[in-house]
Amino acid sequence: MPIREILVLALESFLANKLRSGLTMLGMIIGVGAVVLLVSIGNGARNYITSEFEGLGTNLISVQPGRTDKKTMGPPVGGAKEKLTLADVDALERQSLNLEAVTGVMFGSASVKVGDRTVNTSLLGSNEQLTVILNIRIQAGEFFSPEVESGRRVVVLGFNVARQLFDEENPIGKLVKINGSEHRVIGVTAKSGQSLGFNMDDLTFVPTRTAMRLFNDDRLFGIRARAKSRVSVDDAVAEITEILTHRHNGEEDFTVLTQYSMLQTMETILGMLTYVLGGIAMISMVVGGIGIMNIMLVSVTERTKEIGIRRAVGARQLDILKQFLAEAIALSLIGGSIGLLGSVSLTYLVYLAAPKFDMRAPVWIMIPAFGISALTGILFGVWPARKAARIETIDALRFE
Amino acid sequence: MALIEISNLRKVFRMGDEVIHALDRASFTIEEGDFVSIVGPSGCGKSTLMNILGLLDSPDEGQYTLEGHPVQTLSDNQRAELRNQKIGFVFQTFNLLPRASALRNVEMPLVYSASYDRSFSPVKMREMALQALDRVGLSQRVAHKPNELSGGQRQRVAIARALVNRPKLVLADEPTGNLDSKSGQDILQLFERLNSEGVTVVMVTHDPKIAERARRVIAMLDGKITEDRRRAHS
Ligand SMILES: Nc1ncnc2c1ncn2[C@@H]1O[C@H](COP(=O)(O)OP(=O)(O)OP(=O)(O)O)[C@@H](O)[C@H]1O
Ligand SMILES: [Mg+2]
Repeated sequence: MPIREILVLALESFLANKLRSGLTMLGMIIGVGAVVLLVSIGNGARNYITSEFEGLGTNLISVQPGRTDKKTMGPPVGGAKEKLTLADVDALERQSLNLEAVTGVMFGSASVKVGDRTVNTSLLGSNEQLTVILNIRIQAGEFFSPEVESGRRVVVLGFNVARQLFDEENPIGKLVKINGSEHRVIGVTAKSGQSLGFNMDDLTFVPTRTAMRLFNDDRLFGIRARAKSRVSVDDAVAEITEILTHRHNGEEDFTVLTQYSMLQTMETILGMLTYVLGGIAMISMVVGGIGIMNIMLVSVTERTKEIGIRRAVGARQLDILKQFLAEAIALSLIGGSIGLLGSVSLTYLVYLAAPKFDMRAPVWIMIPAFGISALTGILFGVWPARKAARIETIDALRFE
Repeated sequence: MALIEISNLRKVFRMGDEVIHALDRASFTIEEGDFVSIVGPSGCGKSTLMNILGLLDSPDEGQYTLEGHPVQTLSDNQRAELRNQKIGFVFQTFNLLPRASALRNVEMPLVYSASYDRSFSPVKMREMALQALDRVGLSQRVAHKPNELSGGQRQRVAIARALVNRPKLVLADEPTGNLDSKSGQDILQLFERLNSEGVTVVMVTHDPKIAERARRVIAMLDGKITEDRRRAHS
């Protein structure tokens, strides 16, 4: 039987039972719609996080004290004897060829007080190169200069911290008390906003040695560096490892992480999440498929006489099978297309309403959406179609 | 070579304890070009016989040879091909597809013929179907659905469907049973014309007047052939 005729028959039967076909398709519409929506949301989340990461700069490298188990990728385990020092930072700064900027960092919490106002903030100790590494912009005053780095009592306030302490007043030159000791404000950062749930505007910056004195500790929290370019990141990592291992008597008691490797890990996790979501949505496709199978079985019974007539004038079993299979596939494909169209439009509408979170369905989603629809039609249509094909001609003709 | 040759055909139906011999060692041959009518009381096995001749059903025992091929040895697909290419079957109850127009009903066998002959284009199918409808005098009713046609017209659509593939053999199971005598006469004339063009016609009928128009009359009783007479040529 020619394809054209099979399609005409499928369409005729579809139109002859519009309401029933429509209700049957509902399962497919919802199924495909759910798959497309969940995959789009997963995909959108991944794109969002990737772009946030890239905003931080993919040239970023961090060194943490302690070894990381390469297999489990667990966090570095810092012991008392494994430590990174300012001397390590100096060595990197002098010897490395691939680093644009490098700083040792101290990190901890501190209370910042002026008059009767107190703000509890995270305190970040670093040298002047931090602005290059983290893209920090200064709104008023200046960041530390190399000369002030060696432990003077100066502080740069994050945008929000400055607001909370001084309102609209200009804080430059004012004295604030950090954990009880006085520091002079030399700068305020420009508003940068949230990224990855972390807000630079809430930080307080002091020179590294100043932080060491405040925390009474000479071990660095870590080292942050920026490679000269994206392509030199790997070289930079190798270089850092070599220099530090040499300095630590041949022992690799630290861990070098790159923004890029973190991004990759993140992408893997989110990619997996997308597939898991899609997989869960697939369950609704099964429900849609069962709906199709159900209605096809009803249709086969209802049309037993027609099957008999067709067989009597020369239809082979295969012809009957094709006819009913085509009908099941038509149902699932039309349902799938409507589901696809609906869900894709929905993601575009959401994008129009909230452009920040772009969860527009990717173009490639069409391929699995159609593929899965067709497959569902075949999978759930083949049994009713076989049943139709195997009815004895004479029994089918006698059927009333 | 005879077109149809049956020998000792048996068909048994069991309804609970009751055993019905719908066909009981029925044998005969029909030559190509003959016009045969089969008569007998209700329930004597006429339809059972016709269904077997039309390859819609199989006998329990006995031989059926169609154009020299023993039918028992044919596959399901080969039987379908023979039904499509060689046999036109006309049912007492028309058996038209209720949702399809007269034209679509008549085209239907051709759709399956396309499997055997690739030259069957949609245009050619349409042309053949229109021709067949024209032969039964229904060229004015091609777009009508069966429920928009009279009984006689419906049967003519069914006959057009049986003729559309130019079969060698037309089997008609009480084609006039559901029609008034005027319509019955029209149908009969159609068969006579077909037969004069060389098509072999086998027709079941209750009506003795109609049976007498055939060249040969086979009478049945309780599944057996009881009489087989050839009418003196007129
Ligand atoms: N599928 C079946 N199951 C059981 N019995 C059947 C079946 N088909 C036919 N019979 C029986 O076989 C016998 C012959 O039936 P058949 O239909 O061949 O008769 P017929 O000569 O065509 O009768 P009529 O003139 O009323 O059409 C009948 O007794 C009938 O009850
Ligand atoms: Mg009968």
